[in-house]
Amino acid sequence: MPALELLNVTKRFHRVSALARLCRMPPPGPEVTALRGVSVSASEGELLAVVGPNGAGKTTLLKIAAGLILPDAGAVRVAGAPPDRTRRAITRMLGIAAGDPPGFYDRLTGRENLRFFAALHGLGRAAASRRIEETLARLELEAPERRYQEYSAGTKQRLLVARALLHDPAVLLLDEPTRSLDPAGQLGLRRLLTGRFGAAERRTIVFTTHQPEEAALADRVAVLIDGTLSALGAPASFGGPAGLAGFMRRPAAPAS
Amino acid sequence: MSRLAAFLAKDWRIFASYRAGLAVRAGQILFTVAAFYFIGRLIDAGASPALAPYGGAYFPFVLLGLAFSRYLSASMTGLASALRQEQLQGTLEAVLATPTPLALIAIGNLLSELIWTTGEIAVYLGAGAVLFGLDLGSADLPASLVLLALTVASLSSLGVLSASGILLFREFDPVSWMLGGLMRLVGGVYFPVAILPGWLETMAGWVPLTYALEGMRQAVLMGRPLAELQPMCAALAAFALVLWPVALVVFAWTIRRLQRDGSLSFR
Repeated sequence: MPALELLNVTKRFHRVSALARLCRMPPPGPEVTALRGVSVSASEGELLAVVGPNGAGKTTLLKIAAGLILPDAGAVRVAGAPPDRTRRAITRMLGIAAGDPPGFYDRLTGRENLRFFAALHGLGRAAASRRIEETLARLELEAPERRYQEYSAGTKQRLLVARALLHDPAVLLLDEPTRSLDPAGQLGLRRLLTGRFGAAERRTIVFTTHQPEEAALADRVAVLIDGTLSALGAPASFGGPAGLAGFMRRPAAPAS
Repeated sequence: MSRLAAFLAKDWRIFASYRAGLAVRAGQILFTVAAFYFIGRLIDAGASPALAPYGGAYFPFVLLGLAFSRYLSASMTGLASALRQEQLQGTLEAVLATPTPLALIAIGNLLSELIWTTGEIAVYLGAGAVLFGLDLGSADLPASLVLLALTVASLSSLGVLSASGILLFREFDPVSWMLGGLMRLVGGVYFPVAILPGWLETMAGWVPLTYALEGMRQAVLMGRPLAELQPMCAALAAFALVLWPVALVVFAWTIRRLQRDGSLSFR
């Protein structure tokens, strides 16, 4: 049974004015099709990389999987549960780190931010403290007592991943997890990625990346181009990192 | 309960990080109270008979109006701007990625606004009493507390409606813009409702602020007991019972709309 399934997901974004939104008038602005009938699944413990050029629909795909964006058509199934499961039920099984904007409180410290989100995940004080310390140590996050606004971009990125891990989710969705990290930090995070962040073979991870060598760490790679799933297979089937690099540079297919 | 406590703790830490803001706000209140004290002295000699049911003096009347209408401002503009800020910085989306019920997200964000406003009201009344001779000695405490609770319950529901408006319309909030202005005009903040033309006085009967201010003035200034304030209490309870479910349905619809537009975080 797949841990995560996206079934024929389509998403269009419109430039809608407030008045049009209220009156349900037809959208006056152009329509952007972010995803066109994308079907992809990830089995339990699988590491699935999603690659593609900017604007290919990678972040939208992750946010739809997390229930933060609703698809126009298609469905999302988490752990085989019916697609009409509520947002609250889905969020117990999923963790997402998609950071633009990152969604932290500037005036709180890193630890205070994590404590707030741990409480919202329903973790009691003791369990929250334990999980926070574990994730801080695992992600080698320095200076958790400093305010979020004082962090470097790399530390902010680590905190984003730490938050997604707080409730020990079965499925983890990471949008460019090594973004803003220095080379050593990237190596460390890739090690954590392949180790499923300490959850051995249990945790399913879907991550997006622009780096072929990172995508090659995955069990399978899905290539999104212009909102369409254009290829899906093991990294070797793309010819490893070098082949993936060529594939990721491939120009977008003409829109149908 | 622990989630509500988390919202409160978070807001308190953010609030405490702006210590200078606290002093500035207290100063603003003192200047406002002083200004209305002198306006009161100016007009008391020829005061309208419409002020007689409230003791005849303008300063106590307007001070109660200014203080308790703060719940309306805090709910409508405070919650709306707080949630708009959450949308812009992405924390609304981050909170929605947790299993927190939507009603709790609305109430959690509202709670600290209301607590902060209660502190502001204490400064209004304290400054009025200590510096400008406002007499609070005859206030009926149980009646005041019941009316306070009902005032908060009814006016805060409008805040959730207003927040939905700003999340949806982004740059302006039609609920606060139209409804807030109308309520301040007809609700009796600055003058008794009795001096309004008939049609506006009728309109005042459909506004919860009217009952909140009338009840608070009767309880605090005139010392009326709860038994004599039942019409005001019943009206406020009715507004709360009707408006809260409507506000929560509209809020849930708004969030779903944002999920459809992909604008839970700012785009």
